[in-house]
Amino acid sequence: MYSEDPRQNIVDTTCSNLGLSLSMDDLRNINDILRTLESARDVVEDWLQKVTP
Amino acid sequence: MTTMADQSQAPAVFASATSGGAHLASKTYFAEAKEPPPTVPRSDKESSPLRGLRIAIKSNIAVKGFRTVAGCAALAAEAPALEDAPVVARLRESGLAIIATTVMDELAYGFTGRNAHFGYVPNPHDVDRISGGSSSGAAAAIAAGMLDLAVGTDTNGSVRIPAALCGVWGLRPTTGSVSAEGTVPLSTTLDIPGPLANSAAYLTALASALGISISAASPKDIRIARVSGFPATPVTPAVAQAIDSFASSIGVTDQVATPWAAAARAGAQIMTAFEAAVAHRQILTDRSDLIGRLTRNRLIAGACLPPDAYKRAVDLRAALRQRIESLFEGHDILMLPTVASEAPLANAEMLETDGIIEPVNAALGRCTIAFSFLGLPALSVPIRAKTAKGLPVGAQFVGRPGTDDVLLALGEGLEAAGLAAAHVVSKQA
Repeated sequence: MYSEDPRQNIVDTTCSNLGLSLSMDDLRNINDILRTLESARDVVEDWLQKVTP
Repeated sequence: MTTMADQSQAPAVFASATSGGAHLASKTYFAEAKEPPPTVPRSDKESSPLRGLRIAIKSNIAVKGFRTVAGCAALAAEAPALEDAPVVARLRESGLAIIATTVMDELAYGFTGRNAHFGYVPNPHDVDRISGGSSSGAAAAIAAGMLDLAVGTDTNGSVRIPAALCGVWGLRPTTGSVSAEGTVPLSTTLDIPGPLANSAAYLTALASALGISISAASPKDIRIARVSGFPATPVTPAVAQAIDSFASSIGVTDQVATPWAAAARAGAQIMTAFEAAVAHRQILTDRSDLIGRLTRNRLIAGACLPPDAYKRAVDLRAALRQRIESLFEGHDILMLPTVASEAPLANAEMLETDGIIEPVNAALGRCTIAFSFLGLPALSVPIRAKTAKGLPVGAQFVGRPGTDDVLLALGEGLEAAGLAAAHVVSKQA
């Protein structure tokens, strides 16, 4: 299943690799969690830019 | 032996306690329980400060003869452990007899004490509220008077948070100072077993039994500063009042800002998600139907992270750990609330702290995560005064690496001065 949302494609591919078939509700929930982790990644990058040459 | 699935066989001695008329059953807090050891003669008790005390172990740590359930139905059918984790073996050498394993958030991936398989762990101070987690049963059983001591694990706050919400003592040791071998992993970088107790003196004795170095000399001229701004704020008015009053009573006036804490929290979130997904990939592929929905989805989200995101979190941790001296700004200890609110109601999904609304889990972990990421020791102290609702508040003291004994000595001093004390609601019935 292809989505125009790149994050959703990552979620779909990961679930497929794990052999998991989940409901749309679960896929959305995982997408939300991943979005939070991506925001955290941005915060990490911002700080690393400040403290590393 | 008693399991969650067959709680009717709980040994009578663990049967119950009461709090405000509410019935608190040991089966609520213990994953498995065994008959207590025979009474120890007084002379033997005197040979060890811990001998004869009641102790239980969080059920993600291997205890010989007990199932290492880790709050996960996928692990509930596993055979009992054949060997003790090294940390448990150390305790037995200290003369302690393990009487139970304690319930917890699934795979230690949560701060609430809610478990999709086994329900929520009621807070002994108000059974309509959560205990906090993930070492939920450990802290709650002490607060209910069913245990003197417990060993939990702390990845991002899982000893300190339930200790604060249940009103008992809890220490996250310096990362690496206590072996996590034999523990069901969440984050292999951040996980560490930590002690909980109903007194500061017992906490120190248990920490020593776990292998933490305790100096005989009393620390002098300790410089303490309060953390200003994030993550120490925002907090609920009741917590603000309790912490302000406590800080005033111990004469803490210096303040230190921790602008790095948001990045450390973010790094810990990524590191934990990535490492948890790696650690539990087999369960995810083979028994995903036996993992709670939220835990499963969090593990899958972690599996979605690219390795480079993890590597950058590792880089950040290394960069911050090189700067610890400057982060403390000349102080020995940082002080802030352990948790931004009192224990939330059991059905609460969101938590408001001074106008900021966050999911309960995120709000509970806000004050603890950043310090775990840096591997710092942190002590949750039960402030003697409860809130107007009769709920405990924890003050968190964070030290530099290897200063666990300074924190423990500070705790004993606060207890001796009558400023801090565990809140135990009832003796065993």
